[in-house]
Amino acid sequence: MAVNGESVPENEAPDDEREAGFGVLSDDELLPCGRKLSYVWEQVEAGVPDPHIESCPHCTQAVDALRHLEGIVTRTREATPREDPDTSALAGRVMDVVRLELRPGRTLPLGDEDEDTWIVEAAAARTIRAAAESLPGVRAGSCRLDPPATETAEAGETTEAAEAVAAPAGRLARGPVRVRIGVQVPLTWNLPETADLVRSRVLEAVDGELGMRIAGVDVTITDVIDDESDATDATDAIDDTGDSREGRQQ
Amino acid sequence: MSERDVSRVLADAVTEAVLATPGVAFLRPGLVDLLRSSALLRRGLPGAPAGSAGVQVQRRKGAAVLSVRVYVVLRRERRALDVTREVRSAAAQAVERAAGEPAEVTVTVTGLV
Repeated sequence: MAVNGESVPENEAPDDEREAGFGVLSDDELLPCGRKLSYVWEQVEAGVPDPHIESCPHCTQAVDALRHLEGIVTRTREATPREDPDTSALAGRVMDVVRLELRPGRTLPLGDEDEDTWIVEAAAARTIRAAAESLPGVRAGSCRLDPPATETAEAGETTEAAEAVAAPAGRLARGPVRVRIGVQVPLTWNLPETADLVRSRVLEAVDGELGMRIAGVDVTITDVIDDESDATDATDAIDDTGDSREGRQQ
Repeated sequence: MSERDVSRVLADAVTEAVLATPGVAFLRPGLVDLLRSSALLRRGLPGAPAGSAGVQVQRRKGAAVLSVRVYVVLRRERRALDVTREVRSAAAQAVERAAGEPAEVTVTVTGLV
């Protein structure tokens, strides 16, 4: 699966899958020059200049293809009147799916421990962030989900536990998942109560909309919003998890 | 019929069963597949595999059991777990009917719309 450049471990397809020629190449598809397709697209989308990409014919072709895709979506949006909420919402949802394809994140267990059903982190995170934002004035920031194996890794054990997560779905550990979410909340709110409210909304959504088993929800209030236009008014970030780690903004 | 052809037939049967499940929006689109169909990237990439980004059927080397992987985008109207359970069951039945043998079916939700 495509990799978030910062911290998500790679889910590589096992070698025998690639050799057998069955199924499809993963989203870690390599261009003939050795660059990953998803990496090239991310660089271009982020506007990061890259001499290799600019001079390599394979990368240039990949960029052309991305522009082509973008052009199709843009022309679709322009061809329909913007006042039509349904159509521009549709174009927005199409691009959402495109972004999900580029960076799905980790694969997380869905359902009981003996089942073989999964969901990608990006899809679950969206549901969770939307649940947090169902509270008036609350803005959701970074949302990460930790599969069961990484809990032991964070406790200071070796990277073997982290590598276990890198196995393809089906060999991954199954168990309750930990959710970490950062939120910005209106200034006038009671912060500990807000964290509890966010937590209970998240648990409701995860259970009712997804069916994922949850070990816990760490809510970090990263900012307090003074008024609607002032989302970055920096006051001391208050961490509700009891440690000093803050949620990272996406 | 080559093993590849068999896999393709099974993948088609699974695809049909998955798409018929209520709550399924579509199979994972697989951007790489979309671009592969564009002449821009056709050079340098291997030929079309059996199946699609959404359904992969294979028999692992040395294993007796068929492995089916389904990657699917669901609608938000139903609980995701309920739909994936039905998808799993429908896919397993489709393979059993088409191949005459059971398969290990893994279902992964790649998006919600």
